[in-house]
Amino acid sequence: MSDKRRVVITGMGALSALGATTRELWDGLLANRSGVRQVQRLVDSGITVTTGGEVDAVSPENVERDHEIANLAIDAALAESKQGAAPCGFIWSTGLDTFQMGPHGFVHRSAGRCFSNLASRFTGPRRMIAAACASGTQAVGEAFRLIQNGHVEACVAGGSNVMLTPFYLIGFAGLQAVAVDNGDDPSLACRPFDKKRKGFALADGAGAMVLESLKSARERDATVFAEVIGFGVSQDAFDLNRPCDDGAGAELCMRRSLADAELMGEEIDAVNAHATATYSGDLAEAAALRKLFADRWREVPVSGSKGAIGHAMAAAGVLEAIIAAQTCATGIVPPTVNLHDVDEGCELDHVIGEPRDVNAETVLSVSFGMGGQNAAVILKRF
Amino acid sequence: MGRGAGVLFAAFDHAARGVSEEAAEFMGEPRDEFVLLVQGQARDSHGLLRKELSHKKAQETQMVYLVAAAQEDDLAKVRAEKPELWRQVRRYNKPVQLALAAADKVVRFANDPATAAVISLAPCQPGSADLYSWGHVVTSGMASGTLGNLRMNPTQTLHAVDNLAMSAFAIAHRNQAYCLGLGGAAGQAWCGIEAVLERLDSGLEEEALLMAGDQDAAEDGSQGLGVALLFSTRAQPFQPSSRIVRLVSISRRPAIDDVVPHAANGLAALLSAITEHRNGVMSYVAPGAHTDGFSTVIVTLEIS
Repeated sequence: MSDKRRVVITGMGALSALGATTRELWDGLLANRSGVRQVQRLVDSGITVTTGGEVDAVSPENVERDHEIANLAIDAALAESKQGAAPCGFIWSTGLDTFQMGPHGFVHRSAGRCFSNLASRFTGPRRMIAAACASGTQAVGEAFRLIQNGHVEACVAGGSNVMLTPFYLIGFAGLQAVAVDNGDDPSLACRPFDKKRKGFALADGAGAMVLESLKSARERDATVFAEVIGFGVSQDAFDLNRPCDDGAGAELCMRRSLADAELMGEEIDAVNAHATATYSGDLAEAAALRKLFADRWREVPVSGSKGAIGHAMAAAGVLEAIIAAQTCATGIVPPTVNLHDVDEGCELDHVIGEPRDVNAETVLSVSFGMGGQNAAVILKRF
Repeated sequence: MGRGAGVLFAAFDHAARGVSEEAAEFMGEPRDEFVLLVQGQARDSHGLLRKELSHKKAQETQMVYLVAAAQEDDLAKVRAEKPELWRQVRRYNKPVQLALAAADKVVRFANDPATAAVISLAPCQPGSADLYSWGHVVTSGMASGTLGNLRMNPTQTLHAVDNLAMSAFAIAHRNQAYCLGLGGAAGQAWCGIEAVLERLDSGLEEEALLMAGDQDAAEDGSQGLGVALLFSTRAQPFQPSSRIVRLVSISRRPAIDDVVPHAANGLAALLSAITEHRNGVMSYVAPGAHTDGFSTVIVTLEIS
């Protein structure tokens, strides 16, 4: 890695069900609190899934909601970095097109058009990532690679998602991926790795990171939150709707990220898991992590955030990378909210109930997309 | 291509199937200049070859060649002539079907489809007529609170997914290699070519597939187009012609243009330009309508 440029994170912005700042996200996780709740507009529509991770910072009635949510996260990251947008690249996912009723009737939001609007203020490479739930992680990884290889000095990377609509909730319910109402406390809808898990809670959200070369960060005297040291992607090549039972595709992308960082599995201090709370997804992920860490799998703390903020799809991976960066900076691994009783086959060193201070310096953050795209990044304390 | 002490020279002469007579004159003869030989004749490389080869020598990077390309716009023909492929793609929406049908035409020229990098462009006009109808049903039901236990056909859910072509290709060819799905914003095709160069240039993979499918409008099931391009670090005749097409570079300069978002049209226009171009260096300036609206794109190729 000696001839490659080092890449660091100098700004972060997060909008999630836990609040409109990275601080609220982190504090909520440390408090073992879920922001998932019953959403009145879903109740009013009469569908069988009424819980989700709602972002309150922008009204759901706002037909520019996709654009607004993304820009709030981007502006927060740029402000924290004290970086201007113009010289940066923009590697971003805006998820899928959405359909909803607006004040004047049917509204179709084009994810591509939203991306183009967001990209207009950047002059570096502008890439729209489309890797389903792995998009946010891949956006961070691709930005890392562009900077590492000298194509650009800095990038804003991340993703945004406004899919908390009946249109997608009904679709995901048909695929048995989303937690339908069953009378439980709505905040318990998403239970990663738990015996009572029944799928994810769909969420809106946005996460943005400013990544830049260490040289650039030093020249600007920017605050560095963590360093990005590895990136890997893979495809399951197995099935459109589910991963293979042994998590082979997931394991492959993790191993590629380790190789990229020139690390061994034993050098990973903690994992930010994808942890969707789907039956087959959690089993495959746990199997992959056990194989990755071999006889050390009981010693590597694992944490997932979807019990707290729901599944923000295109934004999920970058929100998780932001959490991983906080872990690198503080050494603390937050708990997996709503995990109480680990299911058979999901055994790992889960962080349950309260945060664990293990002085974690090197964190693996992983995402797995529907269709079989997998992405992993490794962050390290700077 | 040969490399002598202090001199780089190239002899692209596939008709002769060997080093041409004129090329032989340069073999082993130290020179300061780079010489481009095409069909046995010295050609002006416009300074490009020298700069490029110097850079590649210094960086130890790979040459990148376009070795096959195909387009598809007729799904009825696919259904009739390739029943096995049709069985794989029949549930998908038109852009995905067309992209996969085009990819099917080029993948037979790949040395190993399982290890090629796969870069797939999501359609700028995603979905299908069925999906739009469903969208109207749901949004109307939401407004009136009458959705109840409405269930969505899982096939229609697939039509909304942006990475479907990449996933389907990976499953069909057991491909677990590097993958990059690019979304349905205008001009992402050129990001795809940049990504091809980044991956192959640095020797991370030996082959890369770039594919795209799109439609003029999703709401009414209108006309569509699929395009696939196969790149390799190994020089081999570009299919369906017999020429060698080397991808030299892709560059951008700021510009403001009105765009017509379409994932496949820009690549199709590039392929037409390659077909029509005589041998030599070709600098293709993408029409503004095919760009992202913020930059002029120049793709430089060397055709011999």
